[in-house]
Amino acid sequence: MSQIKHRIVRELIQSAYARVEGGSARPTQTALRRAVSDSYYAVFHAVCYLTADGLVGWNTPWESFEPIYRSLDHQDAKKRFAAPDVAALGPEVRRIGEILRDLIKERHTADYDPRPFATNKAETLARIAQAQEAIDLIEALPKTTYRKLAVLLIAKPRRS
Amino acid sequence: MLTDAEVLKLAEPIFATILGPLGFSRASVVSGADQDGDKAFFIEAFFEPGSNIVNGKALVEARGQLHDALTALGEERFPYVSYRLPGEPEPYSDDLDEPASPHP
Repeated sequence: MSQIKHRIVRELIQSAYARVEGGSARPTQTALRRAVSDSYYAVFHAVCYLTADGLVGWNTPWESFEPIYRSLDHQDAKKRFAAPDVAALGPEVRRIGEILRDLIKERHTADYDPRPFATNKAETLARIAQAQEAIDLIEALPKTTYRKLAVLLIAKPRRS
Repeated sequence: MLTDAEVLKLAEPIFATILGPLGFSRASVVSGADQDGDKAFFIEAFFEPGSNIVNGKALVEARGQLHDALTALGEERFPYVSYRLPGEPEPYSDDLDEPASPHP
């Protein structure tokens, strides 16, 4: 078990909930869009944290931590979680990758699609709950799996 | 390559088992491509009006079991799942003045 110590992860989840629950029973589409986007970024930052924490450790100075943290981009994350060697790390890792992939798509719609946002308040809360589940799964990974996943998300795939 | 109907046949029993207690009623499946052009299944899981669907663990497990079942059958397309709860108030529109979107 490894608690995520970078505050941004939890605060993005709290921000997502606040956007949906903070106002009236009928939030605006913009509030729901931003909540979905916050949920995605909470999970993305959690995965970036995992890579840097797993490889160099949270207590490492920023000049060593930040380059690892930022070495994973959105497309890499989607592709690497789909790779067989990552999926073989176990169902918890597969679930984390599935949540991330689903949220990538939803974030894309929420941020870029100008058509009316076809997701209501309850459905958005369900998305936030799935993002929270990804964070819980990351924090519950056994140390060895956590480190292996960090390596596999960053390492250049081997060519056979 | 599985058909949409075959994926639906696989999905509904999994969803009924895991999401039945949350009020799952039925699902639909459409194949297509995601925002990156990757082929995928787009699945909607519908719940009875008034259900409480905010259960991250169950929702994640349902999609996960479906994905594992698809993978075991050699299917590489990812199942994107949207959980739909009809009967909820629609969110306020993003439009300032229009009663409905000018872009049908």
